[in-house]
Amino acid sequence: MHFQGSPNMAEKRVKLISSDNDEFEVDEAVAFESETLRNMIQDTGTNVPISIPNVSSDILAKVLEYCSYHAETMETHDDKPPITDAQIREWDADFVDVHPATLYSLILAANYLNIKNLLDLICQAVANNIRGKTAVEIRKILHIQDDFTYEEEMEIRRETKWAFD
Amino acid sequence: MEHFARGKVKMKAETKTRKAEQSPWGSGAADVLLLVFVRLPAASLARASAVCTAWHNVVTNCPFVWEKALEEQRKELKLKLSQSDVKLVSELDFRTRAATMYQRAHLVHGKMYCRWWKAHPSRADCCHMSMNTIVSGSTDQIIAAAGAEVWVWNRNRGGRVTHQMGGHGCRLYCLSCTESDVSVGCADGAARIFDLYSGRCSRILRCHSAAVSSLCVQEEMSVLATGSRDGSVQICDTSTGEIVARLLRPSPMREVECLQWGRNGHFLFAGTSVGRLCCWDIRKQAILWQKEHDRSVMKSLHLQEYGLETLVTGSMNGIVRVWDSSSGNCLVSIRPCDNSDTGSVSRWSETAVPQGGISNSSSVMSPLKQVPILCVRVGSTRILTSHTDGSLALCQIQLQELR
Repeated sequence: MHFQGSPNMAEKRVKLISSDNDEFEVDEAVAFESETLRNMIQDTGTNVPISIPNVSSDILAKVLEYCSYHAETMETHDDKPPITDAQIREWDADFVDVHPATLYSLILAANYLNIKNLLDLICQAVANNIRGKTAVEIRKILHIQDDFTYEEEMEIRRETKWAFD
Repeated sequence: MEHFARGKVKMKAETKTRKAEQSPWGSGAADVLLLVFVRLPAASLARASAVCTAWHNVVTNCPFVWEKALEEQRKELKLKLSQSDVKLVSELDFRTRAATMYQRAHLVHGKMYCRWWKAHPSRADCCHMSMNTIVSGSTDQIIAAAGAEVWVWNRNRGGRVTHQMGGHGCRLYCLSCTESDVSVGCADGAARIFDLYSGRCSRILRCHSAAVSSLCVQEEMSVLATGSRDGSVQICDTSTGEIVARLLRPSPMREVECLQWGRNGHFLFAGTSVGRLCCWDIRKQAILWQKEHDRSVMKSLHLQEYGLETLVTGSMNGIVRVWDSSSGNCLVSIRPCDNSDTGSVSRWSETAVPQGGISNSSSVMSPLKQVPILCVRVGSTRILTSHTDGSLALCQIQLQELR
């Protein structure tokens, strides 16, 4: 991205406030990973703390962890070898290896903060997780309760028979 | 960076408490679920719709996800298939197209793994499968005096016999199973309908002069097509028992061995004792096409409601054929339990019978080649055949990943 590598830009810090009123301070480059934050910063500048009322501290920390890693991968250092795509994939895979409830909150946060790569990463991870699995397996993976009545279950079985047959 | 460290620690603690709670996925917002669903191939999407009410509603209320699912499936199948020659009728909706494509790809391009087990002491005349239940009917030499019987197994219950229905004393030629009923065609020219749960005979339809060799129920129109040894095909109303139509005989006129309804009850397929497969257009009451590959008796044919484009037949020479039901072209010929066709290692000798087991007493036997097929049933990824020696063979079809 265009702002990377510029030393005075990298010094700029952004304050973010989560729904639990915790304050997070990050580099502007990190915040810029989010389209929503970028727009806000461009509107209001970096002096005012930005409040993110619908993202909790733990989720925001996780999101910022992702953003800072990915902002870092964009930077080029002379002393360090560049991070390879394989390394990034590995890191991403580790990143999504969390409780499904956290993944769900992360999708909401990524969606709100408009971080396309993160959103894609998580949705794809969930999709890959349930791909080719039976309904019972999916319920187990995502901790979902089976709330169908017997009649509904029968109806749905008829509807989706082809996928199980 | 301290913030992250702090956040991480905090999160670990919170995740622990969360585990006890209900996951948000079960009551997930439609937009979040859709983000995931658009990344699923059709078969996975269909399974996802059976997970819980919220998921089911999202899939039902957003029909466009099927379009994406079909696209995803096409991608997936292309990865697995060397040639992507799965052609589809365009006027069908995306879900039906996905189901048809899924089945066609498996049947035509998949690799078979057959399991073979002895189910009856003598001929296994008819069989049926629905999800994980297999039903088979037999004329049992030993208890023939007590009348022919229909056996119902439940595979999940470890293969106990759920019901034994009989009492009419005639030989059964065919069986057709719906949600609540099982219809059988008998040697005395009558079709009998049994209630599947009580095991009682609920109606007797006397419609042919010779044995009813085949029958097939069209549930929506509540009509029953019957084909007979005398070569006639008739359509009866199951509620009144009246004859609705008498169809032209396939030429040359021979015994009708098997019957199946096609799309919307507009088409009827029949196989004859000279290996001829016919398709009638019921609206015109005329033959649409007739095909034959060998002169072997075509004992059975089947097609699924969700995959009406693909028809499967089984013959006395032990060959299963897959046909395109609109053109009548034969797509593939398979011999169950003979994996030399597909070049894979034969798996039939495995001692395990399909999920849950069929019966403690059923023994796994080595297959004989060319065991005549009496009945064939097709699913989207498997073919079940029953044979003259009382055995059943279940061919599971898997698409192979291309290297």
